[in-house]
Amino acid sequence: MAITFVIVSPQDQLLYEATFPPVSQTDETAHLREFILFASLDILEQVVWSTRDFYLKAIDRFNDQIIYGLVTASSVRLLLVSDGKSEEAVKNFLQEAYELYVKLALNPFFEPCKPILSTSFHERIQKLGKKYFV
Amino acid sequence: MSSSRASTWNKLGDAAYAKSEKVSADLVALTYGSFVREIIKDFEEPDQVNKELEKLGYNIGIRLIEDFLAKSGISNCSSFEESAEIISRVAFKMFLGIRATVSNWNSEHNSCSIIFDENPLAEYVELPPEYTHSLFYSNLLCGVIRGALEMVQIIVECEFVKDQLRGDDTNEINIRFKEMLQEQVPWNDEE
Repeated sequence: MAITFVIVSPQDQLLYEATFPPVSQTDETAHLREFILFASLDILEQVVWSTRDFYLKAIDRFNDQIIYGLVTASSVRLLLVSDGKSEEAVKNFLQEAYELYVKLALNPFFEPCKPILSTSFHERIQKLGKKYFV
Repeated sequence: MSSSRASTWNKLGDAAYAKSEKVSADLVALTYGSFVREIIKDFEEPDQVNKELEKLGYNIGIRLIEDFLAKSGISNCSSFEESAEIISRVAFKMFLGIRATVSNWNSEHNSCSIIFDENPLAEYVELPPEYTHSLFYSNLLCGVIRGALEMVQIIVECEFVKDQLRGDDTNEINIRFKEMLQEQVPWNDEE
């Protein structure tokens, strides 16, 4: 099963979604992964108080799917669901994705809490995904 | 342009840069960014926004020239060519911390381009698709050059021809020499 990466706003709106390797829209499991990710948001709320780090490690699992999370200072959530990829790769991916998000947020034309449509951000995330997961 | 003079100017630029007070590049980039956004909000039409940015730069330029001449150690320029070289080698270094190059002289030697690869104003910026073909994000710089030169009696027209934010390989500002203002003798009212 593919890996899905999402960015969720503090108000629980989906801002960005990427899948590695990219899959077609009709992929049945995509809905399932989205469902798993959103279901884990409640658990994330609790986990976030247990550590001082942005990176929260594995926060939830669903069958063989493991959900990893990273919460930024402005409580934007970066979530990733995978089936047993190396923890180290996930950690590095999320941290680098976070750096990309920070860069994106510094763009004066960036609107917080609006879906991320930037093509260059998308390309960079895809590159990052290729580097760690393919 | 002799290379010894070019290197003297480079040194002057470095010295002026070393002496001047520094502020965080992020502060400048983000301030300018929110500034441009406000102007876009106010004027909406990208052409109008370009004009406003230029006007703003002009008002900076007519003041900045004093600071520049006082601190850079440049004495008078003998030609338009020299002025262009000094802008790119000394002024860009002094105020923006980057060095630009002058090229693309036309055959009449009254138009040239200032080219620079790095633009501290446009750090982090990604133009939304609706502006990539209309907005010149750093148009302020054109105004600064025009305003500064006007104060030393050189009338020019300035415009961006290439901008990395639009996907060009570099940033290029075209400067066209218009006229030299003559210092006017006060009108004699005794006759």
